[in-house]
Amino acid sequence: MELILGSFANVLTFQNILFMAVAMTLGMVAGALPGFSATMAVALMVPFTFTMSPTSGLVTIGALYAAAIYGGSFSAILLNTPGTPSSIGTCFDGYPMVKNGRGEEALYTASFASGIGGVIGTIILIAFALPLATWSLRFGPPEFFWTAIFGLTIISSLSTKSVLKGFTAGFIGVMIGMIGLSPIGGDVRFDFGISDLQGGVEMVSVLIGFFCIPEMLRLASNPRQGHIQMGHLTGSRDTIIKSFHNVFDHWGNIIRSSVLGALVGILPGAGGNIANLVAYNEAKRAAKDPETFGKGNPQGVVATETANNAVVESAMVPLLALGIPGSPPAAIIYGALLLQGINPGPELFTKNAEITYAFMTSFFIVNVFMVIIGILAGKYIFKLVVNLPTRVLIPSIILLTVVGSFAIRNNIMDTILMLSSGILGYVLTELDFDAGALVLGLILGPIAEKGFVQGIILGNQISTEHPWIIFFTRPICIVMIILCLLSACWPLFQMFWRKRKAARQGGAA
Amino acid sequence: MKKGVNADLWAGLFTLFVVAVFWVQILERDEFSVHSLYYPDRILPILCIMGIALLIKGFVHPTRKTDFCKELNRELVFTAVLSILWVLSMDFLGFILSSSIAMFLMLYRFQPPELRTPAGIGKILLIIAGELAFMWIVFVKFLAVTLPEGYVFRLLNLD
Repeated sequence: MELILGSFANVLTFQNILFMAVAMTLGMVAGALPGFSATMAVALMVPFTFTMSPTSGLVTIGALYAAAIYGGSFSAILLNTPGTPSSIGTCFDGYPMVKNGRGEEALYTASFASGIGGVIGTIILIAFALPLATWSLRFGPPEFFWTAIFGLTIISSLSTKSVLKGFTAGFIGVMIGMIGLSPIGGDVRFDFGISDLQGGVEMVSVLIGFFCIPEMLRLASNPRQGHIQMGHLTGSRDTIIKSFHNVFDHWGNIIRSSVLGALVGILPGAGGNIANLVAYNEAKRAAKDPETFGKGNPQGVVATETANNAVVESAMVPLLALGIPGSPPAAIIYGALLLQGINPGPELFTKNAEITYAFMTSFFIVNVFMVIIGILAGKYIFKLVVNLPTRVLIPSIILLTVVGSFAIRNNIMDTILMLSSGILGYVLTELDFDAGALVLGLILGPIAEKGFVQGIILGNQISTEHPWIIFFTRPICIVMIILCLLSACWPLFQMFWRKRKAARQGGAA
Repeated sequence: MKKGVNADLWAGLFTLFVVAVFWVQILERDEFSVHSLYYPDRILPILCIMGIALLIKGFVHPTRKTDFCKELNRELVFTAVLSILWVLSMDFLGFILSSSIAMFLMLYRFQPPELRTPAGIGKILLIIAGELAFMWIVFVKFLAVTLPEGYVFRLLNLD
């Protein structure tokens, strides 16, 4: 406890607070720009921290990382474009809130939710870093396969129009995810003879395309409609108080989403991409009014934003406790630690305890500041978007998507892919396919494939005749299978209960 | 009465088309290692079954959409085609030139006729200059992204 209190004092210097404020502002801008990932932002910041003291350097990088993930919610809510893959779920209810004239409320709700998610993630990081890191090492390829499958089962509740089309879209996404180098084997597959596709499709480009372009095309069908109905900028205390209640009146959602985010974040290779969708699905499943999700229910925003911000801190667990970077930004922070002469691993908690705890506790301060800066920034960004007429907004957003998708790999093919995905997305949504399901397949497909093929290779050592048996015999696998079945069949259970309830009420009448 | 588009039938056909596109690419199986084909060999048949199921549903119990592509009008097609041309010309014309032309055409077309005056056009040019300058500063100067220069600028540099 003394160590933690001491580390607060280490972090709360004028210099550190200044560095954090600058890093958070830059991080929010980077996160809000589609195509500019948190990884890129963290990588760009590292050289500036060389000359800083280890504590200041790490605190600055941590602030930037957390703010970049949070910044993704701005574009997800206002433009239906996830700035980072961690904000996909935020689009599902954030953008409908905007369309319902509750844009400002959605932004403030995301700010409060991100803050509390981050704080809970930090508590988990400080309290359980070592035991959780050891637990995460029990996850082998078969467990990762089932984790990905569990993520895919979300489709059953995401696809409200047609479950069959939802799963079909998910499998199409899985196939698109196979384009390029195979994770095991290393062959180039399904590249259509286009050399630019040998490295695979860039996920963020496809995300921008599927979510943003169809919306822009719809707006373009009536470009002289004045302004998009996003609500009026009030900036009043009422909206802030309402947003505060959206978050803090639902502790069940907060705790569930944060814990889910933290658990998924600890797993190397998983992270915010999966956590936000799992949390969204669980919030919908637990809600009394699941039918309002996808139509502008603030609880959808709360679930995804608490989860993806809890991931930021929990992704540090395997890095700090075991020296295993579980995500690309964590790998860059690993490099930053080495540059400061600190070796990540169990020794970090004894040899460099002061710096380590200062880094961990800095997330408390970052998340509190993030709410304040987020509300201020949200207000001005909202004001800017609200005041732009639709006829100006459409080309401006298309410009942003073009630059954003190009900037990821400096590759024009990514921009072409973004636009093609957008036009395809427009047609597919008209055919009742779910864009969210397709994107889910695209994200989880490669994780599932890697787990599946590696699992089979491992299984061959147990039984050459039935190598697949490994997927059904390990304890965590069994738990995951049960969860998958429950998740996939949940809409059926709900339908059954509703019918039974209706029959009972009918009988009573 | 308008019958509407059979969404299931079209969805099934689209799915089978996707299956065919991927299937054709793994016909020459000798080119791939066992591990590279293990997963697609299992996913493609499932996708094929789903496509067939959608086709059957399209015949037996179709979902008819009377509002299919209801927003499809000249403005939407114009935006889609112009965006495609914008992206395709970026390598040749460069980011600045292609974006300026595409944005001008879009903004001019979306401008109400009564605002298509010299002052209105001046405003459009100002918007384009401001947005492109902002993008250039953020992405090129701060984030070190190399946006396409294009042959036009390269030729000018050579001269």
